[in-house]
Amino acid sequence: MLDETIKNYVKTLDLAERNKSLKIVGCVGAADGVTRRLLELGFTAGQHVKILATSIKKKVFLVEVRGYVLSVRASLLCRVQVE
Amino acid sequence: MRDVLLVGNPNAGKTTLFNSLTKSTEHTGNWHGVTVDTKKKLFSFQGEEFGIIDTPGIYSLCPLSFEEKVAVETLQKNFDKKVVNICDNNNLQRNLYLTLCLLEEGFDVVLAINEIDKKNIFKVDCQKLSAALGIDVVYVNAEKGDGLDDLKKILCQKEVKNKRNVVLPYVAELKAKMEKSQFFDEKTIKNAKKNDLFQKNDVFFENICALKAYEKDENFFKKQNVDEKIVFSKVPQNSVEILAKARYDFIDKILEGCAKRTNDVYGHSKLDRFVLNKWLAFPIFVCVLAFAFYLTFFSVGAFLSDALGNLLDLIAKPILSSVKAHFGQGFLFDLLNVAIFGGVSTVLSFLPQIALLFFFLSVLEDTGYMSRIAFIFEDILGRIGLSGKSVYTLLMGFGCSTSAIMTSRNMDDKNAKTKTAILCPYMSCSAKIPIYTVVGGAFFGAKNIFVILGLYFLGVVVAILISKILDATVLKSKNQTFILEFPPYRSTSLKRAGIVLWKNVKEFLLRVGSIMISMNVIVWLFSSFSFSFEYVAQGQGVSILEQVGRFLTPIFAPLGFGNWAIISSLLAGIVAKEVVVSSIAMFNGIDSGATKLLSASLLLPTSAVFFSSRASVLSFLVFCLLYTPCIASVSMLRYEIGRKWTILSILIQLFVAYVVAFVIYQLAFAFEIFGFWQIFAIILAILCVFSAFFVIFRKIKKKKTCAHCFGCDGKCHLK
Repeated sequence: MLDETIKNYVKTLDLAERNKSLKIVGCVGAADGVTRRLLELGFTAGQHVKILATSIKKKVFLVEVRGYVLSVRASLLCRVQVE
Repeated sequence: MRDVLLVGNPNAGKTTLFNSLTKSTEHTGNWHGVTVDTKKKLFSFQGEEFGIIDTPGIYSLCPLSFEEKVAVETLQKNFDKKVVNICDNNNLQRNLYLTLCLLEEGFDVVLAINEIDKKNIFKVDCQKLSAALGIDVVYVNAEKGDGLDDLKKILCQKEVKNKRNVVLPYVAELKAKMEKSQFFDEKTIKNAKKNDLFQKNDVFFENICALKAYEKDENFFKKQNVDEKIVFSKVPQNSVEILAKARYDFIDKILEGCAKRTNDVYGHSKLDRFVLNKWLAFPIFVCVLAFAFYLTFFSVGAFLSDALGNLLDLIAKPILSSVKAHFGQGFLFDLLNVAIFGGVSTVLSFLPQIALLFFFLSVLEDTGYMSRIAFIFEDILGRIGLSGKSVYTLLMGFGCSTSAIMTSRNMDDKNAKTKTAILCPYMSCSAKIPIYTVVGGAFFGAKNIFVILGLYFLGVVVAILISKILDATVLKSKNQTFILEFPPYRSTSLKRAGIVLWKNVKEFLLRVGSIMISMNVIVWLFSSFSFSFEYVAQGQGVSILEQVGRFLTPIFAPLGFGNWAIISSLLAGIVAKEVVVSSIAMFNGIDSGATKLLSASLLLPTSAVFFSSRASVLSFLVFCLLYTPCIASVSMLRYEIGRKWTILSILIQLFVAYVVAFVIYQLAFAFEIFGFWQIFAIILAILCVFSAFFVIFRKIKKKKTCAHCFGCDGKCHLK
């Protein structure tokens, strides 16, 4: 029951709404260079993130994290879980 | 002399500080990844000489792209040197992450906080931060040169060769959390002791091993002859995340005590609502480029070019008349008149246009618009196997292909890097401006602006098609990591714009003074002497160049310019593209810098270089746009992507240039004969048939895509 609630509550950042502040739960996926880079850039658990804009085809997102702005591919943002 | 390393995050101001310290003019810009290689220069302070090494930007000591590897390898090779870690004051948290990585590995770090903008997001108490980190901290303004003396004084202090006794609090905590069983067996430590890195302090070595285990750094353990799988089993599964969080928590904790921050978001601007708007982004981009090209090729650029041409004419005439009076009209007069003044001054008159193009590119770099362009184009470029980062390289290609090819190093994926470098020469470089203006201007007059814009557009279209083909065949890109920091909008510094202009003008003048003059003399000699070494400049025989040109004429006849002089100028253009126009001027006997005179000569059937129709002119311009790049670009390609791909790239370019020029010539010729509307209707009908086939084919082979993410080919872990 609790798992079900968490499953509904937690989603990946690429599915998040624009201009809504969300809290990072963690990074999922392989412990490869890409996950490491996302963490180095500040996508760590407990931080707040916000999607500021998306590209025309919604394949790239403009994300605010730790007080600065990054553009990241959606295929990478799906590794960041938010609540 | 003591070496000092300059490291920091991308776009933190490393090269700006390097320029201020060494009084040099290395390339800088307001975007991620301007520096792609290391540079070393000297400066002295209080009688002591320092060698400062500038490195490409890094976020940590785990590199992802090629230029990051260069920086990390340089750091590892210079482990015992002082490291100046430059941090952007507006993004201190993220910048300090690298500082911690350096401190963890025992580097002797000096922290230089760079005040880039007037409004700083962080206000730091340097003394408190220095006490918290246990290193020297100094405020600098890399551009204005403020605080440089303080930094130099710190650099004068002796290097601390062993900073390894300083253990950051979270490192000990993380190590304690690891499973107690020893993974550092005796063999490992014995091996490590042989290594210079870990000579003295075993506790420090153990700490590093613990951190590398948390970071899951396979290369580190392979170097130490340790089975990384055993080590990784001792740390939690999400160890990478735990380590990153521990570092950021430590940064937050120390900044709480020694820094205040405003609520501004760094890199975010209200202007982005328009610049990145899905309906306005492309029109704005097209308007910006069209405005820059209009000012470069017409209005201001054309006016300045004409003025310089007339000035060069005024200078050349008295010199030539005095040579004629003293030596008569012989070999020396011909050499000066045709090879030096005729050819070189024609190209020299384009200096204002080339300088203007570089000025606009530098404005684009400084304002921060480059990163916005990368964002806008990521969707499109992703589909042809490139990354938004390729935009930098390709836009730089409009200036100079050689330097643009070098910037392809900021790609993460090797195939994407190779592809971007191969596509660079298709972007029409500034050296081709004289060809378009002189040859196109003669036949199209005021409408030449559309021809020039069309050529630039054609180059981009051909590059897209080639990228698509390469991506589908031999250079398939993996799922690329497009992560790009957004810099804030900044105004162009007049000082920097001046430096960029002067550097490019100097480079152009050097090219004109060295390669072009020597190449013109060679071309003139080959066009003035026969195989039996007889002087045939007065039309008394067939020159070497004419014989070779005539031999190649049948190959180029289907393209509409089967003329030995045109072919010879194309051959000479392989050395440098500017030589094409100077060779044409030589062949047509133009003895002044006036481009109008040269353009007029192309219309005369008696000239050596003569175009019979507009179709052949278009075909020639297209061939010039697409054929082999200059020797400097080829050697840079060889350096960046290797011999095999360079040869293949040249062959592809020759083939594409020939085919496209042939198609353009045949189409333009058909337009001239049958009229525009008839040919337009035929092309439209053919396109309709092809589109119908394409739609049917797509429906049959409709691909299944993942609903959760992009580009996983159905193997998504989120399913």
